[in-house]
Amino acid sequence: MKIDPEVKNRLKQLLKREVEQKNKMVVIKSAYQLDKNEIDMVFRALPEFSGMSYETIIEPEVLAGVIVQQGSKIYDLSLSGQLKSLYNKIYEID
Amino acid sequence: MKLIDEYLKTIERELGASKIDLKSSEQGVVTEIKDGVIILQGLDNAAYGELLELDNNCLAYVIDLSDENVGAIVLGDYLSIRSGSKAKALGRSLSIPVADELLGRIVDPLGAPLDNGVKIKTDLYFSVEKVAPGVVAREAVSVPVQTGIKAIDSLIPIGRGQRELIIGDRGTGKTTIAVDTILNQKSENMICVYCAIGQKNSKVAGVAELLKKNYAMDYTIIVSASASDSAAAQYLAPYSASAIAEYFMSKGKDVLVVYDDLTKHAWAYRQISLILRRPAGREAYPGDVFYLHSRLLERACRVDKKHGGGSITALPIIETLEGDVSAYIPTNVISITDGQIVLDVDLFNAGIKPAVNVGLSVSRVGGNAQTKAMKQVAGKLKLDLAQYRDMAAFSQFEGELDEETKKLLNRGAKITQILKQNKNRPYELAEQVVVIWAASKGYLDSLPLHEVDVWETKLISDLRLRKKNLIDSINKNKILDEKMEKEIGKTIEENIENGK
Repeated sequence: MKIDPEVKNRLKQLLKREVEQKNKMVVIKSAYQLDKNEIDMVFRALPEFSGMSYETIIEPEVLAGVIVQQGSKIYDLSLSGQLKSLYNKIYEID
Repeated sequence: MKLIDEYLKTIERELGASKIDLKSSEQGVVTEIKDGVIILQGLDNAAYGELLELDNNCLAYVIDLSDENVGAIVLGDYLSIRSGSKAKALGRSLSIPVADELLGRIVDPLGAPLDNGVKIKTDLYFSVEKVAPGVVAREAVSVPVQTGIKAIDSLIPIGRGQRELIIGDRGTGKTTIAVDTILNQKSENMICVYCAIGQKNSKVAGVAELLKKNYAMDYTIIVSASASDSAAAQYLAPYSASAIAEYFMSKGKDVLVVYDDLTKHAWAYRQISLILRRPAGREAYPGDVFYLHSRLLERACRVDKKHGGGSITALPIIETLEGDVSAYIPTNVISITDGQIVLDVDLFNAGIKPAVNVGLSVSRVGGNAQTKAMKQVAGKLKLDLAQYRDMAAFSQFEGELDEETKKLLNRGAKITQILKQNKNRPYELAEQVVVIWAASKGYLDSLPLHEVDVWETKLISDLRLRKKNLIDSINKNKILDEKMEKEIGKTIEENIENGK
């Protein structure tokens, strides 16, 4: 099937815009549903994200705390992340 | 119990130092896994040469940044990585632990021990990729590397800080020359690094055994990425070896690095590049295969006193096919280095070992570093050999030869004979000087060719026994005066007389 280059180009641009939009979105992962107050606290702690649109995802593996992600940038403030780094540290001490 | 308490205390102390900090990191997701190479999405702000940490605690090294993807080579077990694994950028480049403890050890390209020994304990890490010292920090080569091989020290002298290529077909004794040079550094105040790239494990074990047996491991480090290691490890090995050498150079030491061999290094890099879909050039090597070796060998240098005064001498090895030194990789490396030692299959098969092809081998800077004593005796040697080569080719067709030509041929044959040397038997400077002096002065002209070997062994043991002062003085002062020459002449005459 032949695709009109014009259409292809448009589709590409659309996809690009969509990805960009998605990357601008701040994703907050937590073990339970955060209330408005708690989300405000997260944004106060990370002023660079303030004013951006966000979505929350519930992930029980986080255990406690939050993982804040925007695009490829990530703040790991979760208990699971801390446990993992502890595990690595103990492994390295000899 | 006490042990556990102590262990817990160490952990407590280590953990006390760390605290939760509000630091962002870059994250990506593995989308493709190919032989030792992974392609990731995300990592928008990752840098070239940055380290990544994968889910299975494996490290990866970013070497490709394209529009949408990031390509990285995996340092370690890439078989346990799953598609969809998360990767975290660590924000630092690849570096390896360096310490004096490395001496006598066999390590992999990441500095982890391969010899069942303890981990290298140090707080000092040296970057694997480093820009070579600039023009200002450098100094001309002035001190020789004594290889202990007569043919090389006399005709193709190597200086500390030089890059001398050893090139030849398989099985012509390339590694032997390099290892013999390491063996001869026992009393030369040099640190040696032997870097095996894509070699058989058995060969590396053999080299390690040989060095250990000759007490050469005391000042040697072996960096090994064998043929069964990943292409990533083979690609990194010479740079790691160079980083180790730079550590010792930073302490003002003279270091000798052997890269055995760079042909396999180029193969490993070609494999990685093809997997990353970089455009393939001649013989499917990527466009930057020249830079691959030039940036490595450029790190060999002699720095001036202000910058520590150490040096790195590089002996890269290249394997040719059917003696073709004009193939792609060989010509590249020949043009980068300060000269080459060409080993010839025909010479090897004719029993001339080391099989150095004196006509094709050169040393572009080593002459300045040659000791005075050697310079005195070697000048004549070169001329005699060059004339001999011309005549030898010519005389094959000629039945009748005049006296002069016969004399030249005889002299040439004797010189070729004395330049032969058994492997793993390095010669001291004085031994070399005396033997070569005898040949170039014509003392051997009357001796039958097959007796030269016996004569040489006997002369050296004689000198050692009776003329120890003379030997010591040549070794120490590195010059040959008239009085000495007379004394040597007398000894040789007596020696030949007694032998009859």
